[in-house]
Amino acid sequence: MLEVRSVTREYRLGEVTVKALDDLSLRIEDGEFVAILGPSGSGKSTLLNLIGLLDVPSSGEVLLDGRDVVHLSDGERARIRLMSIGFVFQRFHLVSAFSAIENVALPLEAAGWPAEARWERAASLLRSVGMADRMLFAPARLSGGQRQRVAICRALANTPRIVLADEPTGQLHSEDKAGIIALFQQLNRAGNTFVVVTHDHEMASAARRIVELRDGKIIREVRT
Amino acid sequence: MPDYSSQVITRESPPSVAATEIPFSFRLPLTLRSILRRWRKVVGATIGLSFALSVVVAFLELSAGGTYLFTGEYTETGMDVYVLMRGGVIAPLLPGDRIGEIEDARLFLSQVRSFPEVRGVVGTYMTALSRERERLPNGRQDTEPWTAVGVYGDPSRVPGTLVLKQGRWFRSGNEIVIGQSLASASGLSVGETVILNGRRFLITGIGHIRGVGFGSNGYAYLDFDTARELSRGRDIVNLVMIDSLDPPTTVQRIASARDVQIMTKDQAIASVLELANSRLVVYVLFSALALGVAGLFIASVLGSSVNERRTEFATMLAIGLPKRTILGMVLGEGLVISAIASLLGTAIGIGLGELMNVYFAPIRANRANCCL
Repeated sequence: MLEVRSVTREYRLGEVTVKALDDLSLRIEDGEFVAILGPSGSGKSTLLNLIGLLDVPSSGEVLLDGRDVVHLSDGERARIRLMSIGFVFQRFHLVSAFSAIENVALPLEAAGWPAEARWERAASLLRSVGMADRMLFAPARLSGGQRQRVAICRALANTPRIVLADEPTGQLHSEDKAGIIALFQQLNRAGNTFVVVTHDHEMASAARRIVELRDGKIIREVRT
Repeated sequence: MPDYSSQVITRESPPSVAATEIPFSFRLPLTLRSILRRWRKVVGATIGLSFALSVVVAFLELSAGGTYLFTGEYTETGMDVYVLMRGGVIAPLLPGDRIGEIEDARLFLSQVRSFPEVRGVVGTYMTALSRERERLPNGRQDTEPWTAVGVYGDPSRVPGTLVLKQGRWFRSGNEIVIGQSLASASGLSVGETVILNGRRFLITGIGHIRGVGFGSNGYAYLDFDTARELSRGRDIVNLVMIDSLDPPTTVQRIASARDVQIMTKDQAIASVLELANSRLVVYVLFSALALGVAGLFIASVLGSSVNERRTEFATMLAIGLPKRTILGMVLGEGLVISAIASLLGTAIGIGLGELMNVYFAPIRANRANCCL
């Protein structure tokens, strides 16, 4: 279970202080599929960064299974990101020099898995998303949808508690987009927790809960 | 829409597949794999750095050869004492350098020769002679200037002083020995004749005397009196080289007899080293410059590598890779490039330096077969 309590995040832009999140609280249970919607500048990505331990709030708490993770050291936060949180980015951000399977195996390698075990795990993940015949391909040789599937596999490699996705369909054609949305739903049904920041209503409608932000506050929550 | 429902991943039990053959590179540590996959950039950087390092090493090699070029003339000869005019420079190199002249040469040389501890004396008188070549169609004579050294005494009696590549030392006023580079530049060989200032000479040998200056391979060597006669010179000598059993006594005797500059072998070597150092400064400057360029090069390569991969590193940090792993990737790449480039650059530099030394400092290469 992941929870943010009364978090505020302020940025200083020269003389001006911008409040990206304003006393926001949100609780995400295991197995949920949450879509965070909102216009640009509403605080969606800031919230995702806080949940993903990539940033710290100006005030408030971020709790993972009841444990405060705001005041942990960089190393401890990195370890939590590696083992408990998966990331999927809009632009995929695969390591261009590595093959699809090497990209998926990257978090496993950092977690200390031996070569055989990480090969087997990464290959299983890629097979399960229909990428068995593209495992040794470099990202440049894959389509947008294929790259995003590799990125999803990378996010799932260490069986994280939660997968955070920032506009995961933003760079995809409609057919690829539909495939990724279906994959997210199937993965969620299998027990994976997803928090997806999106502008895309198709993606949002696939979620089981929609949280809408404006000016750093939650203005509406809908369960579908 | 693709359907993955039959193979979807669950958190508890990811589907297992039999491991197919794992590529070798997959087993390599992250740093090595990263280098392997970026080999084009790594090779490019390595070649660039190797080149810069090879320039440094080649300059250092060349400076060693250059130093030998300067000092070898004096370390290899059996001469123990050098005498020249006060204020003169033993091996003129820079503009304004002069070796100077010692007056009453015949008397002075006879005096030195009479010292009981002296085993051999060689005096040199340097002059310019005109070599006649063929007669041109307009009836005029084509000539070229030669630097000639009139030699008093027999240099072949002092070990290491005479360097003969072919033939023998001259025995009369009508014979001449020419330096190796003069012979090859003029296309002359032993047995041929040359006309200098209207007088015909038989070339009896190709070689040179050590200690008469840096251009000794380009001089013609002939009898002392003949040289003076041809150039209508006064009774002077430029340099006197002495093979002595007791150099301090010889120095003392000469000092009491004449107001001249006297140098022992070590002083002569130190003096030419001073001249060599003026060139060494240039080598050191070039080497420092090349090292600086090499340093900037590796910094720029690593800098641009980090810049190019900024997003990649940020992604790695985001997914939880420790900072030390990422730092290790960058430093490891720099280390591999530096290590290979150092080996390659040093090998190329030594080879290049030796090659240049053979060309620029032939006396170093000639050590084995030079001396009488």
